[in-house]
This record gives sequence, C-alpha cells and structure tokens, in this order.
Amino acid sequence: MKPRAFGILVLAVTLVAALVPFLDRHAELPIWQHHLLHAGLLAGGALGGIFVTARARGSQGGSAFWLVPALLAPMVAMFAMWPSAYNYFELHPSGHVLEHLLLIALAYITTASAENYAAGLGWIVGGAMVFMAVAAARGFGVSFGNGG
Amino acid sequence: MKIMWTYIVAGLTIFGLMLLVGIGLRASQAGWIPIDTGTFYSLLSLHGVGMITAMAIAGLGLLWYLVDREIHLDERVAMLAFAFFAIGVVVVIVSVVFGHYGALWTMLYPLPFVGTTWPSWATGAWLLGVAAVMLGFMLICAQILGAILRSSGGLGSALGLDYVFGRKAFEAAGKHPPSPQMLAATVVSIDGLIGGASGLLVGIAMIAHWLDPHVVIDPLWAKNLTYQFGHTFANLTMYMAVAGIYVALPICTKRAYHSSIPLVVAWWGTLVFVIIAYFHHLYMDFVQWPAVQYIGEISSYLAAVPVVVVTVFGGLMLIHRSGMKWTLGSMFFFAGMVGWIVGGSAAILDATIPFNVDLHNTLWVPAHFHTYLLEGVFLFILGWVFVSLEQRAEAASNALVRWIVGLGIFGGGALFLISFYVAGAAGVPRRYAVEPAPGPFWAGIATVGALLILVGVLAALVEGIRLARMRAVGSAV
Amino acid sequence: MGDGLLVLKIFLVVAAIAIAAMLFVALYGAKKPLPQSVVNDAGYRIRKLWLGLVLVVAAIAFALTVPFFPYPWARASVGARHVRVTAAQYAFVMPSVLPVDVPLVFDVTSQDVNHGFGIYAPDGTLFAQVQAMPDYINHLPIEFHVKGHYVVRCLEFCGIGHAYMHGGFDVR
Repeated sequence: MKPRAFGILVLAVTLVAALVPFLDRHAELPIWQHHLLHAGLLAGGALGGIFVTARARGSQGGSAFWLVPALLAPMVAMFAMWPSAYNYFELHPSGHVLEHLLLIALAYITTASAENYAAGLGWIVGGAMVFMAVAAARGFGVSFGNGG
Repeated sequence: MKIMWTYIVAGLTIFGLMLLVGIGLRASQAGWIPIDTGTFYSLLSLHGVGMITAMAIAGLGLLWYLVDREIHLDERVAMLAFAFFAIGVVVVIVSVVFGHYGALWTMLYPLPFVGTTWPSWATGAWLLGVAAVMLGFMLICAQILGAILRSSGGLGSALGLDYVFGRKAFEAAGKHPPSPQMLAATVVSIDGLIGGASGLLVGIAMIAHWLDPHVVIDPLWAKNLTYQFGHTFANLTMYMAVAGIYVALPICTKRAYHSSIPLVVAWWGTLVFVIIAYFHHLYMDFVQWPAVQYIGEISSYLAAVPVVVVTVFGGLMLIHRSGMKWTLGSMFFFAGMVGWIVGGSAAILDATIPFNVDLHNTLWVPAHFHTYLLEGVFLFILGWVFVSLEQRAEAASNALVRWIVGLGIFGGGALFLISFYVAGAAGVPRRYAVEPAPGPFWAGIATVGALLILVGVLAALVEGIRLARMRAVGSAV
Repeated sequence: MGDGLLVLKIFLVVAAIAIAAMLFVALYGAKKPLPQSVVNDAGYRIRKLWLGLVLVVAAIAFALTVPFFPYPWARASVGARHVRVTAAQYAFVMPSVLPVDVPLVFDVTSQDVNHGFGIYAPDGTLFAQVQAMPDYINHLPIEFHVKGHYVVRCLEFCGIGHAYMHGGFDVR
C-alpha cells in the first residue's frame, strides 16, 4: 500500500471512530478515559497527516513557517480537551462529534505542516502532541490523590 | 551573524538587568536594604525567569548560528521566534511590575491561584508570558531539528546511528559523522521539544484553571510536568552553550576537534538523561512511584558521565600542551568548564537521595545552579563572544584587564557561591525573604561577592565594546 | 539525615581536586607545546581508565546510598504510631509533644498549596523532610533518639508568608 493510501485509510477509520458519541449517547466515561480516547483520535489524525503528506526523506521541503501551525495546533488541541466541557458533551452528541472532528483536524494540521517543512519532523511533533494528550489523562481535569 | 548577535546581545542585556535584581535580593536578605516581602517575591520571580530566559536566548543564538553555518536556516523564522521572546518578556515584566505577581516561575499548582496577594490577571499574564517564551524556544528547536532532518536524511543519521553501528561501511562510503556542534543541536532540539510539550501541557492546564476554576488539576501530576519542563529547559541552556566549546576551543588551541564514536554515544546519553533526571526534584514526594526515585538517582549520576568523560575531558585534551594563549575568550571557556564540573559535583551530591533529605530546597539548590549557570553557561557565552571579537579585531586584552575581569567574575563568583553552599549545608531554606541564622550573615558575604562579579562584568563589557570598536574603526579605513 | 556539613566537606574536597586537576592539565608544560596526535594517544588511553573509574564510583555510590533511602516503602515501620500533620498557609497543625525512642510515621498533607515539612533537630541541623501536598498524604517514617525542641520550617515555596511559616514540637 502506498503511504498516501495508508494515510487516507487511517483518517477514514479515525473519522468513523469520531462518530461513536452518536451511537452510544449515554456512555458516561471518567475524564481520564475520555482523554485517552481523544489521544487515540489525535494519533489517528497525526498518522493521517504524516502519511498523506509523505515526502521522500532528505528532500528539501517547504518553508520553515509551516512550523507555526505545527506548534500552535497541538496547543489548541489541548484547549479543545477542556475537561469541564465533557459534562456538556455527554448530553450533546453532535457537539461532541464536532469536538472530535476538530481534534482530528488539528492533529492532521500539526503533522502535515511539520512534514511539509521537513520529512520526519511530523513524527516528533505529532509524538509530542499525543504524549501531551496521554499525559493529560493523569491530571488535567482530574486529581487522583492517594487517599491516605 | 545578525541573528546570533541579536540573540546574544538581548540575552546578555537581560542577564545584566537580572544581575542587578539578584544583588538587590541578596542585599535584602542580608538586611542591608529594605525590600518588603511581596516585592521580594515579585523580584525573585522576575530574577529566576529572566535569568533562565537570558541564558536560553543567548545560547539559542549561538546554536542557531552554528547550525546555519552548515545548513541554511531561514532568518525570518528566527526573528519570529525572537518576537515571541520579546512579547513574553514584556508580558512577564508587566505581570510583575504592574500586577505584583510573586509565585516564581516553577510555581507548583495550585500555588498561583490560592492565597495570592496580587490580582488574578497578573497570574494569567505570567502564564501567557512564559508560554510565549516557550513557544519561541520550541519554534527555534523545531526549525533546527527540521533542518537537520532535511540535510541528514533522517533522525538515525542525525544522531549518528549508522556511523556507530557500521563504521567501516560508513567510512568506506566516504560519509562523515555529524559534527559535534550538530549533535549538540540535535539533542537540544529534541529534548527542547519534549520539555516544551510538558511545559505547555501543564501551562495550558493552569490557564484552563485560571479561566474556569472547575478544571481541577492533580498536584502531583502538575509537579512532575513543571519540573520535567523546568529542569530540561534550564539544563539545556548548558548544552546549547556547549556547542560553542566544540568550535571555539579548536580556534583558541589551533587544534582540531572531530566527532568520534565515544562523542556520539555520549550525546545519546545526554539525550536520554536530560529528560529523565528531573525525577530528583521529586525525591521528597514520598507518594511518587518508587521506581522513578531510583531512576532519578541513577540518571542524575549517569548524566555526568558524558560531561566528565567526553566533553570536558576532550576540551582539556585540546588545551593540554597546545600553546594556547590566555585571552579573555580562552580563559572564559576554561573557567566555564571548571564551573560546570564544580556545579555538577554539587548537583550530584544533591541528587543522592539520603543527602537530598538534608539539602532539598535549602540554599544548596541555588548554590549549585548558580555555579552551573553563572560560572558555566554564562562563561561559555562570554567566551564565545570574546573569541569572536578577538578574531575580528585580531587583538586581545592586556593582563590588567584579564586580572580585573578574572578576579571579579571568578573571585567574586567563588565568594558569592561559597556563601550559598555553606548556608545551604547549614539547612537555611531557599526562597526565604527573611532567613534564619546563619542565612543573613552569608547573604552579606554573597552580596559582596555579587558586587565583585558586577565589577568584573562591567570590565568585560567595556573591554568587549573596545574590541568591537577596533574592528569598526579598522574596517572604516 | 543531619549530614549537611558532611556533604559540604565532601563537596569542598571534590571541588578542590577537580579545580587542581583541571589547572594542572591546562598549565603543565604549557610552554612546551606537543603535537595534538601525541596528546591524543595518551589522552585516549587515560580516558578508558577514567570512564571505568567514573562508572565504578557511580555504581558504588548508588549501592551505598540505597539502604539509607527515607521512603516508607524502603524501611520497616509496622506498628509505628501515626502522627497527623496538616499544613496550610502559613502554619502546621500537629501535636506539640512527641515520644522519644518510639517509631513514628508522620502522615503529612496540605489543605491548600504545596508546602514542605522540614524538621530541624535541637542542634539546628535539618534532620528530615517531606512534601506536604493537597490531595495526597506523604508518610514519613522517623524515630527520635534525642530529646529537645524540634523546629519545623516550610521547605516548599507556598506564597508570601513562606519565610514565616514555622512550628515545632518537643520530644520527651
């Protein structure tokens, strides 16, 4: 399979997964599980961005200004994972699906922009973004404590 | 060159201003000048974030220039990053001067929101200002890393994997391993992006909490991320400046410095240990997962190996019996290596868990990082500046100037630092506006030392301007 | 525990040796330069030994320190008496008298921000410490063998009153 086709396949699967709130509207997940699932959507969007924009290693690539969206999009994605909004999204599946689509789009922008500048950079910037989303599960919007 | 000098001059200017703030803080702890507690912590916040930003900006300017020499980088992106730095610095200053923010730069959640004596906007401004600095830092890291990936054809060859695991075939193909300064740039930019991601995550969580207090944050999680970011960012300022050693010391000693397998492997070690050594900041968090306490001590020890076995050892091998002339530039590089080793020794003692019980959050901590930053990173930056100026002007400073600068920066520095160490070993806590005995006595000694440093820095400034103007006059003729 | 001065002495010795060694390498024979290849041949041989020495010293240091880890999971404290400590801006709530020669575990937490619970022995040395965190309870196992007044200071920056946040208890 060519990289671009693989990228489109990953994106398609991720987009289908993004629609889950329509099916299972009463699922009330704890925030940390929610973060992890969203990290999965980000990973899908990020992989899509990498493979769809795949270019030969060592090729010249585009302007370094592609880095601006590549760095800003993950920040916006973290804000889009705003934990206190999850209660609202549990009740409004269409809003929730929109949020999912936004996350996938931001992840795509992140890695596609980075790859546009330099082949391989998408893996690093995208990896950092997914790391942030996974790490968020441990404390962004939740406090575990040790209960004594 | 333009980018390098813009960054270095901006960094050294901030350094100079923060030096004055620092002197004021120590004089206040000595009881020599009256600074009220709220102002003390505002100034301490400014001093901390300002110094680390100053070193990072100057170090990035140096690193950017060295990478640009080998593979072209877009100047406009460096200027955009500089704009982020400038905005961040201005916003932080507004937060402190007009908002009286005073929760320091490595504030641990929920500190900047609870029991504050300043308005809420000042906390928000501080968070956004630091985020802007981080963004500028990450932009430069990503620019450098991307350019390295483009020119080397992938991360593996940028890190010298193919060179280490197949040297014969690699050399038979006529290929060369990445230069030492490019290895430094690769490691700094990767670790910078990782540390930056940690910092942005906890920063965004705090901004979210600032806007919507319903967003709770796990305090242990926030502490891990804050130190992962803070330790990495502070530690990397050294590795940016170290790139200068690889280029400038061969100039001073008229010898060559090439990449070798030990050097490449040493940088792999640095790549890993810089991002996991931060666990030593959480030794006194007994709820932290036990395994990482062991990892913290081991990785802190191992982080020293590349330094003492490869970089500084190699630097000394360059100097040894090379007939190197002692100019200000070469002096700064040598003294910087000494400061790095001395500060590193203090850090390793503190990273030893049973000793950390006695030193954690005492003045020992600022003792070691002032050694590392002031007598390490700062001297490498100055060394780079003076080697450049001496080369351009084809002149060096006379012995009197070297003695004044040396006695001020190294002699005054020793006095300044020893007072931190002694008070820290006696258990005097750090970040106390008013210290218990014997803190105030040693704060007085430190103030004298810091004033001597100021004299040395001013002498270096005058001498630097003199050397810079020699070139200007010469080229006009 | 209470080893601040020992650490200072170790540090001063290590720093003096390091400075002397580096000055020696830089200054010895400086008037009689050698070709780089000669210095490199000797340097690389020394470096192998030096690497071995550094790794051995690091391994020994690690092994020596592990038995002295202060953590509750690293030392037996079964049957110890638990002492609750609650920190808040800017005071510690805790008993004012504690028994000598009895195994204790301090259960340390915070009501607001991060604080540090630092215990200073009657002779003024920093004796033990643990962080006081909101949402978490840190367990600090300890046994006092010296009677007297112990001062407690906050050892994590906690706001404008940080330097004034102290308490204490008597061990009898």
